[in-house]
Amino acid sequence: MALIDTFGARARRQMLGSVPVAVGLVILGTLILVCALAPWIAPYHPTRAVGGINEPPSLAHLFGTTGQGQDVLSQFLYGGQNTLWVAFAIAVLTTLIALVVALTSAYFRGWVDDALTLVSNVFLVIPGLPLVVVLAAFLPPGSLTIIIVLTLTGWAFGARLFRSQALSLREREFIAAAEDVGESRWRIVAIELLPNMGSVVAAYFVNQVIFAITAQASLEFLGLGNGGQVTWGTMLFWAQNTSALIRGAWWTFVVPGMAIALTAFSLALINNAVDELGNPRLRADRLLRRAGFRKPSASLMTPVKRND
Amino acid sequence: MTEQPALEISNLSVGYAGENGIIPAVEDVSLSIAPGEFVGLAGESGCGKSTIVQSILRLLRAPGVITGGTIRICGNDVLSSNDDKVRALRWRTASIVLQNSLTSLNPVKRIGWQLQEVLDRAKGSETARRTPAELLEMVDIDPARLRAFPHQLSGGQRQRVVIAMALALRPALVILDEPTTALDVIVQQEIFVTVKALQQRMGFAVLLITHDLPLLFDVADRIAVMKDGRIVESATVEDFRRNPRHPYSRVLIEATPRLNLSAPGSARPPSAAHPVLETAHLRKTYGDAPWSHASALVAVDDVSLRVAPSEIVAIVGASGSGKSTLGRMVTGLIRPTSGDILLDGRPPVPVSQRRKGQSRAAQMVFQDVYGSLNPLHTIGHHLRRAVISAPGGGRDVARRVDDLLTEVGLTPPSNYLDRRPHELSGGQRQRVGLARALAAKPKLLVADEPVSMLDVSIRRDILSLIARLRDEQGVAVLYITHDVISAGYIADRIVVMHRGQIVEEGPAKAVLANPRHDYTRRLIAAVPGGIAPADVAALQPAT
Repeated sequence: MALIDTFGARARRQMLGSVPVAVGLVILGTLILVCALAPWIAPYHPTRAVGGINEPPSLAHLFGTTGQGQDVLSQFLYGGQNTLWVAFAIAVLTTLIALVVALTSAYFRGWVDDALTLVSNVFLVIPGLPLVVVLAAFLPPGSLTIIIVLTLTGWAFGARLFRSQALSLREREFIAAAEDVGESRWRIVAIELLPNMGSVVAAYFVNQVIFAITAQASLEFLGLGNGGQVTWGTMLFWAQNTSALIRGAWWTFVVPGMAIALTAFSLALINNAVDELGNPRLRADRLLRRAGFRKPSASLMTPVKRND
Repeated sequence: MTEQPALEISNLSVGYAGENGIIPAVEDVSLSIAPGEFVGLAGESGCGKSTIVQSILRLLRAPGVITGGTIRICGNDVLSSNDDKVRALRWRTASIVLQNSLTSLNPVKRIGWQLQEVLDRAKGSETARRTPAELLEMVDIDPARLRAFPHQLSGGQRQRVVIAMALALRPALVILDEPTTALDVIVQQEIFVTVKALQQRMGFAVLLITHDLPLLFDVADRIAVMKDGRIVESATVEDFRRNPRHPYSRVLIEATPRLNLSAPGSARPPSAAHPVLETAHLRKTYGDAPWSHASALVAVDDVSLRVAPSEIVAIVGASGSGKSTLGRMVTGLIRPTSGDILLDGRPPVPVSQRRKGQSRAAQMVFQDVYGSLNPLHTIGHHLRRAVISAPGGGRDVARRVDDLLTEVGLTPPSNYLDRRPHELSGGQRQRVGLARALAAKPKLLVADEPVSMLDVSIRRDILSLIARLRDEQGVAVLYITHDVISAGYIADRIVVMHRGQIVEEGPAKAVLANPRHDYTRRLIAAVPGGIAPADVAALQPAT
């Protein structure tokens, strides 16, 4: 509750106050909305051949057709559904695992902390993509495999980040005060410590969505996803398989490529505002800009404003 | 042509950009410092004194904005010059010493290198021919320490290095922004003796920012008092002491604690009753080598202490004397290496074994009024949690919380329940800290520097509150402080700690009026306002 009260008002002001963030929110919102409405607004079935092979965009097929005669617009809409929920699931899971590991470290300290740090270090040094390819090759292809594989390889950095934040917060006096009053340690971690990590967790979450979307598309493009399922990644995979580039059927790979790029772009814009929540310096610069100073801290010299 | 003033500020206004435009912090301030003059700028936190000094060299960080007026350093206009010209003034014409020496020095470079870096700014001129060793010698540090890293020096030595840096290029003006607030009184006195001696020799002007009026009485020629972004009075020290004109100046002088031995004290005869706290041969060491039994650091060494019910015992010592470690061991926040603690006849319960509803004999009041309350939670939340985990908690929580707030003078309680810490002043926050500690009805309050971060004018209120709580509720207090004067104001008994050991112990009056141990004598002599200027001259280094 407290978190929403204090962060909420500030977050609202910053979110709406900044043009890039508003643009990011609009793009992401539109993408999510149209994909969610796919069953009602998609003109054709996404996997059936409903037109000629590699037809360029026309009124009947707004984004053209694929090498197998499927409608690209319908694929884009249905594929977005699969891609986005998998990406958000991965982001939620990695953030949760990272938080649990980090808070357990901060709570127990001692050898538990050492052991968990060792495990996350091991996951950090394992080269990500090769491991992902090997894992994906052994597990049955599909969304679940991708979620498992990317969650396994994606949580370690977050655990490091949150652990250092939690350990430094743990040294603050209000934690000692809560201990002195006799609060249980889990309560201290959950009620006193965790809410103070809000901005870091939010920034990490947004970054994880970007990571998940691009990593998922790469895996599927390499053919490690389920080829029968429509996603933005498999759309790219089939475009490659049907030699779309050589045949000049640019609409089959530009559409999913742009979708992935737009999603990542809008999330990066949103991340700006989340960063500002945890970084007073960025906030100060924005306030100066608002007060009418064009390049605030470039020279780090206090600006002088003349009224005349 | 008459000599130009070292610093001339006229009609300066400074503000901070906020969501709804620029909020003024300093309004229409004028101040002039003659060459070689020592001017003190006094005021309480939030009055804008730091904003002014940081504006002088245009170091004020975003979102700070200078909105009007002029600043001239030795005739050079700072506000209309371009960035390069202002940068050329820094170090050479005016320099600044900030409060925290640990952050003003680069932790990964040797101090000799850092001093040379400043000297290199004046390459070609004759001042550049000075060496880092000369600079260290100037501030009474052994030149052999040139190769030391900042963390290998003590806080006082680090601040001396920063002062040497500030003086390296012989500036006409040195700005000292609370340079000794983080240091203890003995070190503070030594540093100002050095600064005064150097000033007489080199003739630079000084602008000293502090909240400590007695310190200014000792060192400054002229005093300016600030309140709410304006300078309300400016006078020579003698005039100001004899005849403060502005009512606020009178309030400040009134609130300034003095070593007063004639006031009727509350010293009560030590009762024969069962002591609330008893420690025997308490010892805490850090960095123990596993086989040799050698310790890198002995924080508390063989401390035996008794506190009777409703007695106020002050533990006085410099930073690093082990007094805070002692306090944390008593409340069970850390464990002693050896020795016994008996709180009301039982050893303290370590934090990891505390359970809801257990009785707790000792509770802690913390120093950092900004850090000891969780910024995200309301005052009501803090107190409710404390009441619920106290013995017999769970019933009538709301009423108990109201009672606690009333006891510490935050009335009416409903005004405070839903506020968050940032909406309270420092003094109010410390009252909440006291209320939280009282929730468990402890027999002993361990107050670790409860007023050191508060403004002088509210320190006495908080100390009086602590004394009143003792009178009304019979709670004993272990008052941990570096401030001998406040200890004399409130305590029945004073215990002086030095390097982990108790060096002197006795009734407050007796210790202050007639200190037996040499360290206690030095501690009392170093209190600002305690020495006459003639003594300062006598203390000057031979150089």
